[in-house]
Amino acid sequence: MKFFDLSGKVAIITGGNGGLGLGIAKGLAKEGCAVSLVGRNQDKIDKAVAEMEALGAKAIGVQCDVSKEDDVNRMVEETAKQLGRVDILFNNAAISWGIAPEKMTLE
Amino acid sequence: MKIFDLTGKVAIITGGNGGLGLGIARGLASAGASVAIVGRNADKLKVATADLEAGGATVLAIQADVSLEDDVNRMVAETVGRFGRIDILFNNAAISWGIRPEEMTLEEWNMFLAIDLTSCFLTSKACYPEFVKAGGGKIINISSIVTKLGHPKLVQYAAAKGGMDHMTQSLARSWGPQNIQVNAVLPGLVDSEMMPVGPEGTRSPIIDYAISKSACERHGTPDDFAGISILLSSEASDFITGSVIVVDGGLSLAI
Repeated sequence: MKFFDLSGKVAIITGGNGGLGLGIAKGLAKEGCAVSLVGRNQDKIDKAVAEMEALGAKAIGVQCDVSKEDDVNRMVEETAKQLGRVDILFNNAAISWGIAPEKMTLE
Repeated sequence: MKIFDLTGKVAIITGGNGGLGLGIARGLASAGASVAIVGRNADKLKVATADLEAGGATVLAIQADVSLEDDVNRMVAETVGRFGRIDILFNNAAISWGIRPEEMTLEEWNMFLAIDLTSCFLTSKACYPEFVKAGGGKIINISSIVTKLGHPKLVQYAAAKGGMDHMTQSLARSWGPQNIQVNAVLPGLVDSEMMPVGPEGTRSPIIDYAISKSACERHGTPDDFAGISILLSSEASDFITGSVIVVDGGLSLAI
């Protein structure tokens, strides 16, 4: 359906190097979108990019800690440089594990 | 009525030295609670203490910045030192002013989140052992109707208050077994320093627009929060926890 066509579009997916993020990237790529897979773990990035390319997608990997402003600015520049533009941003990167609030430190 | 009686109870109200927080303090004191009002501004603390004492309240004023862990721990120690216990915590201190998100620096963002959200974690954690000792407790997080609406220049404030709403729900589960009830109140427009102002301190036209749409056809006053504050602090609310309660005079119904 033309409505859902993403040909020529470029998407950044933070945490796109695995799990839900990689699923999002695959879905976008299927509709013609080029994807920038962003994560901290380079091994996971390499594997994810290889997986995307094997599916015929245009994908790049950018190593980046999205909690750091300098990293984030570099990540956007890198994506724009390699893929020419940025149309879509998925804020998907996250960490979570259980801690009882009374035991959690401020750090 | 006995179920709303707060005699013998001790409440901490952050940002209790003015605006909505002072309204809360007046309400709790009228129901018999001793109140510790907390703020950064010593002059405002003095004025608020005099206001409360003139109404017959038992008051402790604590100068503290609730975004700083040492200050928060001292706040709890001073309250326990004076009153011997803590039963009720109002996380009411907050700052807010409009900034376009694309113009906001990371430093500004972090400042808003520290004062408006992280403070809520620090105070709740610091009060927890006292609540356990007292056999239970009440935490009331003063959030904002912005978490139900959205605002182009209050992204940082909405993020902090939205965090507060959801922290309310999870904390209610964390500490439910300890008989600690945690709820959030979402005010709309309240006549305080935080009410939007236009250029050079003029009344923002958005206020009159909002009032014209509001079911109650007026903005709120700090004293409008006495009732909900007494309810959520008292035995009357022992089965209310994890609730996010809109108290906006019907503003959000129309906007």
